[in-house]
Amino acid sequence: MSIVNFIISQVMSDPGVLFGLIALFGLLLLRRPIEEIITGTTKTVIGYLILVAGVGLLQEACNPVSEWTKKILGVDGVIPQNFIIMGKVMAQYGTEVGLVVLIGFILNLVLARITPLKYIAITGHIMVIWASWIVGILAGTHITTTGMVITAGILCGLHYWLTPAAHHYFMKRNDRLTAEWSLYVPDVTGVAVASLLGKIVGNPDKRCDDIKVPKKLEWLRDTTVGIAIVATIFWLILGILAGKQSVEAVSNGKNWILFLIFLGAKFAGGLTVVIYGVRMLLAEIVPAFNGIATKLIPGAIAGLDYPTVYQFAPTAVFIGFIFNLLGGIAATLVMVAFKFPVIVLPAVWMNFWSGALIGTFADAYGGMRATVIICLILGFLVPFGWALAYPLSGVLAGSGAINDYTDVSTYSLIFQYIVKAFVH
Amino acid sequence: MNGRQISILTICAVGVGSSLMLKANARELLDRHKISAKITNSDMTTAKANETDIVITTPDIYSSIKGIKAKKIILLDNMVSKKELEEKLVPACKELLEK
Repeated sequence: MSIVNFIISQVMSDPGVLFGLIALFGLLLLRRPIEEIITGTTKTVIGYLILVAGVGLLQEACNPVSEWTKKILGVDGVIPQNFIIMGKVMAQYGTEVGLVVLIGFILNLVLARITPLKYIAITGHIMVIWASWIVGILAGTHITTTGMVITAGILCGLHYWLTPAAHHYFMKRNDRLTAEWSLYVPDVTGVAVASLLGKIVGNPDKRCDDIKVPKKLEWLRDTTVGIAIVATIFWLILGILAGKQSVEAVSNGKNWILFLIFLGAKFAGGLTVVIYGVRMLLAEIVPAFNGIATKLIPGAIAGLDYPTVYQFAPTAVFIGFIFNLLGGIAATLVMVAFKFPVIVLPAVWMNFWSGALIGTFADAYGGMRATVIICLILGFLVPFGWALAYPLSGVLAGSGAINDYTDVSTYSLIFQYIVKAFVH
Repeated sequence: MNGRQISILTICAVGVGSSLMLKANARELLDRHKISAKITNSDMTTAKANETDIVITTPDIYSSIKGIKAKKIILLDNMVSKKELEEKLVPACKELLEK
């Protein structure tokens, strides 16, 4: 018994070790050479440590934002960024998240095997982000750890299975898209609105690709650079509004304007470190998962990542991003003007990923007019759902960050209200 | 196979999703053709810091990482297609191994 106890309390309680073991198991199953098993397992463990270090850096850059918005407007300022959500929950509940992803993955395989819906999610980082989100919400209640892991595992299993099914419904009904694969991205809301409304508001014969986007704007696709620039601008505005004194209180003697500029860069840097950690953490696990899943479920339809569909409407990707971002900026201004209890800052990151995805579907179903109208409307409306979700996000409430998929504003929000009403 | 290992870098925008899928697809393909390779996935912001034999990415990403140090650049029009990957990657590997 004491050995079992030792393993559980000392070995498994370190999330890096749990992920290392999963990688080791996956590499053994794939019969990789011994040197690759050693490097792969080691890198996975170190990936977790890098991720946690990145969260610290992000925290330093984020904390003043909430403080200053509180000082200026008397309300909470929230940054929409799913990797912050993942990092924060992983740093505190890493083992639980690892187990939830594992349970969810196995449940997804079982459901795809025994039902006619042959869908499997294989976008590893989003699977971990969604598991972190659910664990973050449930960890704020009095539910036991075992209960939380099982509940979140079942919810994630259903999510991994049904999300690609929902996307595939809209993908296979349009010749401009494809029936060959599907998506595992929590943007069913955006895709459904784009597909259903696109037909009504748009003209499918006039597509985005009929116009040319200037080559000079392509650098904006490098989201790390985009984030750094926008973050710096916002930190500057907020810091200047909060005043020299408030900034100097935390700047440790550095010139306050320079401090603000570097804080924006620190945010982008922290985000890059977190993502670097995630990459190392998943580099061995995801290919192993993919191998197992495709072997066990012949004819399975894989739920893949955002950019796999961008090829179907390359110009809509850009137009979708720009109008989604404009909608998001308008939402922030409206929240400030009407003194909302929570102010959601423009997302930028997800304005690109979701905006481009919504644009691709809107363009396929309703051409350029649909792309512009729908991306603008969703970019504007969705952040209000995030603002409602923020105080209900369990241990993440008060963290200064919110999960930023379009689905967070719909069924996830309903789930959060249910948790608040029934689980204490 | 002559014992030499080829280094391959798969690149997507953030380096955690599509590049990992490309890595898994390339791994499966090269195992089938018995070509030994070290495959790493990366993002477009930091990719240029690497030196590698082969880069696999899409044309839109490549426009942001031009000048990357690689002997061969493979651009996929459809990043999901295993057939396109096979048609472009296997001849490139064989050519490098013959040198």
